[in-house]
Amino acid sequence: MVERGETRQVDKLSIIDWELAQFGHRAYDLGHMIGDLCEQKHFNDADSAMSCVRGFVEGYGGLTDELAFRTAIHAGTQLIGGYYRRPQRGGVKAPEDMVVDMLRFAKEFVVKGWERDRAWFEGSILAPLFATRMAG
Amino acid sequence: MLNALTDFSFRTPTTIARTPRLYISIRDAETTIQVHEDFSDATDLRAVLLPSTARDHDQMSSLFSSPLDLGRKIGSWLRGFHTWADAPAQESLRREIGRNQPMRKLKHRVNYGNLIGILEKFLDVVGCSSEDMEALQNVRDVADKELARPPTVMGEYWGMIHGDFCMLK
Repeated sequence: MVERGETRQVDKLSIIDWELAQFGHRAYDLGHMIGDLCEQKHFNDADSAMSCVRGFVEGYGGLTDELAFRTAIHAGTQLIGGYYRRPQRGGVKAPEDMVVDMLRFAKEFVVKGWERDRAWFEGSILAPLFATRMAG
Repeated sequence: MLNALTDFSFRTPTTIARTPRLYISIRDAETTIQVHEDFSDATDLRAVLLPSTARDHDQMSSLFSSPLDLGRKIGSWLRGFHTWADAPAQESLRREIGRNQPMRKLKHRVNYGNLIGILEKFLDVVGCSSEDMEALQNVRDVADKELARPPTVMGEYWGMIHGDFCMLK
């Protein structure tokens, strides 16, 4: 959540919803946010979301290959799991072909992440995951 | 968790981050009541990134940093949180959060439990080779095995996480 800053330069971040705090892999936090942002890019054509992904990874300090692949897998599962969260009827229901497209690239995130196919990711919208290296 | 987070202070010249304060927590055999701080004047990240009108767009642009910079700030906060969560001072908190197995199971089910079932509904249109299916099964099997292990150190990148780190409130 983002709160209005008092000046243009200062942003206030409000981090809420802590009830799922748990023991887990850091890629779950990274991949959840990145999956959500990819969903906005896909369904709402929001280029701003992908700028945010790039900044998010940079701000985190970059990722190792291991963390990047695992994050890509989790982002993919987040998108696929999102199938049930999307409206299933009514005016805001997404067209079927858009949903299928989303499932198609989300499945690739999982499969290519498992296969550690870095070249594939570098040509995909998840290229920012591999653009900044985490310091050892 | 909310009480512990008051010890995690994240502040830079251009970012102030905060987490809700816990005011009341009552938990006994009959009742669970929690009252915590509400950030009623905040908006969610989605509304900032996807303003619905030109006027909203102008307003968001004047109030917030660019999407790239907001992403940097959020990523920087998350790294700070993960680092704080890993520090020796949080040992007892990690043990306590490690007992939050119901939420761990819920997250596992949402992300990995339904993974193959959802794709199977669309096999003909999504396309899924036998190699793809094998990779998906491997991902699910690894997640299942990890869930079965106790919440202790399982190697690098494992530890206390937010668990619901998303862009919508």
